[in-house]
Amino acid sequence: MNGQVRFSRGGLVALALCVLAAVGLTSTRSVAQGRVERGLAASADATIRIYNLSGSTSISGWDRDSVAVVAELEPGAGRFYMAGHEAIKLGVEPPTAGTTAGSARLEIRVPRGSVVWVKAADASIEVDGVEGGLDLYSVSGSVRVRGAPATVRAESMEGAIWIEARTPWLRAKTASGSIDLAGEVSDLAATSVSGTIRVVAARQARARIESVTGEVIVSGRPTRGGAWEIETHSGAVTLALAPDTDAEIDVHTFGGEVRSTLGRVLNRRTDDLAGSDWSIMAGAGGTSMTVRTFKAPVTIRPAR
Amino acid sequence: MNDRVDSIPGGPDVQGSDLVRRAQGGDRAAFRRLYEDHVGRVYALCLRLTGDPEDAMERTQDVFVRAWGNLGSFRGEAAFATWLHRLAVNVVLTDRRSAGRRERRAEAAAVMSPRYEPAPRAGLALDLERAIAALPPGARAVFVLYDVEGYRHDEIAEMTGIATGTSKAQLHRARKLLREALS
Amino acid sequence: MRCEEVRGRLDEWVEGALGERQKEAVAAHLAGCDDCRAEARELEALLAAAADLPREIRPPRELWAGIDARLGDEPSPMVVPLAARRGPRRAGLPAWAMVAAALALVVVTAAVTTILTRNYDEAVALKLRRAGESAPPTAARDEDVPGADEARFLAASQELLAGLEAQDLSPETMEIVRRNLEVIDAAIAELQVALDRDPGNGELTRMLLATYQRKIDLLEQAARSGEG
Repeated sequence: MNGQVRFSRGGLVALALCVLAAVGLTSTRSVAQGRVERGLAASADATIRIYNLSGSTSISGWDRDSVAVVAELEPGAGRFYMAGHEAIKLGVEPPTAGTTAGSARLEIRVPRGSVVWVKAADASIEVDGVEGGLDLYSVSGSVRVRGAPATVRAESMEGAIWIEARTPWLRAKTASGSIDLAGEVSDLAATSVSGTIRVVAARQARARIESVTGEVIVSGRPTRGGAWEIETHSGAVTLALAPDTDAEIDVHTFGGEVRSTLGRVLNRRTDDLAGSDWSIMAGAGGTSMTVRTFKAPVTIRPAR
Repeated sequence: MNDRVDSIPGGPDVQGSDLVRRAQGGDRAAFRRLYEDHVGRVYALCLRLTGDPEDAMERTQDVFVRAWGNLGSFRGEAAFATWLHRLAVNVVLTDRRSAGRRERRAEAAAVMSPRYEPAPRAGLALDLERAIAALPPGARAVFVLYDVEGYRHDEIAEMTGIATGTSKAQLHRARKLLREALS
Repeated sequence: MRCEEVRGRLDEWVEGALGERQKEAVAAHLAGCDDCRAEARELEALLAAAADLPREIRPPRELWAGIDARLGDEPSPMVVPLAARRGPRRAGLPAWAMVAAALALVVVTAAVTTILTRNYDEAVALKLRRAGESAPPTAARDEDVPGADEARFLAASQELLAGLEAQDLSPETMEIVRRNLEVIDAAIAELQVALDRDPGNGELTRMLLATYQRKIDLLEQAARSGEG
């Protein structure tokens, strides 16, 4: 395999220590049927596609032009592979396509500027310190992101998504998993069917939050000038905002109850058929927040 | 007038050209960023040229699929936005020639699409969007390309395959119909 | 200059494209003719409004997934070495075809859930019966589609089914999809009842469409989870 690099002894030891720390030194579970340590030279902005269906995948950015992996494979997990330079593929190939009998734990270091794509079934995905784009897909595993990636797309059908990052662009989507978003995100969209969505408002210029039955909770202090749209069918919506928030908040609901203890209610109209509309002015306004629900309660209050 | 076509909203050009370069190298994530940066422009154009949201979404997808396939031929002489824009005009207008076949498909899809309801804006803009959508196709294409997008008659003639004179006549007709519709 | 002549030149006049002499002639006429002046103002207002139209409009639906699925083929992901497994991939439709089929399907039916749970024949029979009934006036209702679309519906259903089977989703994934489709369908049913009470309500129609969109999103997500 071209471009393969040998690690220095010190590097390997450090890496092994990291892995042990992450795995937990006290773990009594018999892991590794196989333990694989591999390194590969990579371009600084490599595109890296990672497949690990079951277990966990943990990725962190580092300031070297190489990819380093420590893989712990349970019996039946399959075979580890890695190849490429600018476009790298790595992961665990299960014995039969699409299913695994054992899980694999991958600890991966990638060049900080990498574009990373990860695919999992029930494996969790964790990314820290990668500054290229991230595309992370799991079916039932959780997805966690920290750092300042260029873009983030995180999807899980059932697993929780947890992101604390500084990024211009973020899309998070679950069916029944919860979504927790914090950090500085200028363009944010979060969608669930039944999962709870919690967002800490900060510097969003645009935020769109949609759910069917999932609860939506927005806290923090939205920066002035932002535009927020929140829509649920029956998921309760709570805006628990900093008391000095400047925002115009418009609420439309067909059958839900609206309660507001933040700012002044400018306008309130209720119609049996058309539902109720509320306009609320918090502080001097300047941030537009629109909440629409079919029948969910909407609560707007100062953060405690 | 063409500077309007060249300006790329939502991203400095340097970043844009870097994305283009990466996309040309097969980087889908970069291409998705390009899509995110440009989809609003492309969709707006497709929507106004077709007058139908469902059709416009389909065309928008076609434009980006075509763009991916043709990225290799993009040499960077023009701004990417301009190149993409022309491609979009091409996709929509070329396809219009076979519109009949697609109509039946669109009809089912239209059932679930909201009838063309532009985002709430000032009254005139809203009425204007509706009036544009109601124009006959030829007049609509010329009006959108000339008065909204800022192409010249000779450029429109080149892109659509009509004569410059026809372009002018269609523009006159479109403006007249629109004034009638709006008054 | 007569009114007729002036009006024929207003297009060029407002663009400043007339020669000096003609420009003066038109200006002189406009100064003395209220009707033509009004016409010129209208035209100017139209052009200003056209130039002011938003340059960007977000599509009402997310389009990327459909595009992504149509971009050039990628080598099979689980393959190392790359050349070793060039054999046929799973037979069936690409993800975009499934999504297209799903879209067509939600247009004509709310029976996706039934199909997912394999009660396919029942769903088809139900839809065919309903397609023959008279359509209520509400927009965006599946019954709006004429009965003549039966064949298309059948084809779309079969494509969806084939697509999902080709995706080879795990029973666990199917279960997640099924549970969430139930949640979405319950919401859709509630919105349809509300729309029956208030058929002209645009906001309700919009919510209904947004909820259909959740359904499509979910199917797309399921399709992606089966890829590669």
